[in-house]
Amino acid sequence: MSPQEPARIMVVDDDPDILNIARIALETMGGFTIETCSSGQEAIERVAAFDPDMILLDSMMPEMDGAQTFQALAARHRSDAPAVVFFTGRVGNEDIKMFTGLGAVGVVEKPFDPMSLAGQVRDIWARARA
Amino acid sequence: MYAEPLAYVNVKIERLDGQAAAAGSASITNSYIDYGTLLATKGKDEEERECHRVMQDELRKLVEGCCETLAHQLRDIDRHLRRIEDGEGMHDTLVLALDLTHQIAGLSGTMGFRDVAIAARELERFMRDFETAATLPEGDDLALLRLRFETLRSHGEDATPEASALYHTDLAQFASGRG
Repeated sequence: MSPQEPARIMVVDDDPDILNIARIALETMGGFTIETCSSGQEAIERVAAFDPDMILLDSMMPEMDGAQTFQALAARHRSDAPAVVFFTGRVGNEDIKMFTGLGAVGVVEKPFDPMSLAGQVRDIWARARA
Repeated sequence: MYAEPLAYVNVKIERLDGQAAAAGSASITNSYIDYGTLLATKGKDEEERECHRVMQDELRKLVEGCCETLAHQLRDIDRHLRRIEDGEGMHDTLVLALDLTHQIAGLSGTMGFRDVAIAARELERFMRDFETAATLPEGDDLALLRLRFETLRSHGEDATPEASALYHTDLAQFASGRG
């Protein structure tokens, strides 16, 4: 893995169209290796096998929301946890404080621009490692 | 870069098509070419072009699907709002309308329908207050709810696949600029 950017990214969202467009944006245009999950529970079950460098996590999902998924993932990765970025339509200061307070390295606002998503991911990764 | 025996060059050229063969011919004149790199590059380029074609089609299908889904979602939201307006709605009715609006707000902007996304986000915020308070809008609030929905519906009716910039995006152009 290059330390300059995340090679493997897991995208978690309950909307299959968002997963499809994120795959095109990150895999075809960004050159990353992508795994998609349609729920927090599925992400928890598959995270060890995929071993992502970064997880893009929808904040609002039924049953297990982004914050709950994040906490469950963090409990499984005491060290060497993947960097988590929230996908959210809530980007007020309080919301961002809440997400970063959980330990997220960044936030991608929904709706996102598929053409610039890979660049956003790289920027967040670079800032987190600085 | 290295010089190649001419016979060997000819064999290699037979494996190349139009554009690459032309590049090969030009290189023969110069007698220098790294054929290993040329062939490898050609193979990779072809593979990438095919990949971009497939993904471009997939992208267009996603945009088309988004438009179809949007029409259904707007009809369903309208149905839920009518139930609330007719006094038949319950808290769950509002939640159903809110969930649909949230889906529209999240997806439509990503698919290139910015006006739809903005209108959906405003409607979602408006409904969220009532959902949080576990009440249903009445009177002026109900009229405002309808007004915001009609704004969303108006933008939604303009949302055709061809109206999305994403539909016309050249994936190869974006992919070639990654790094």
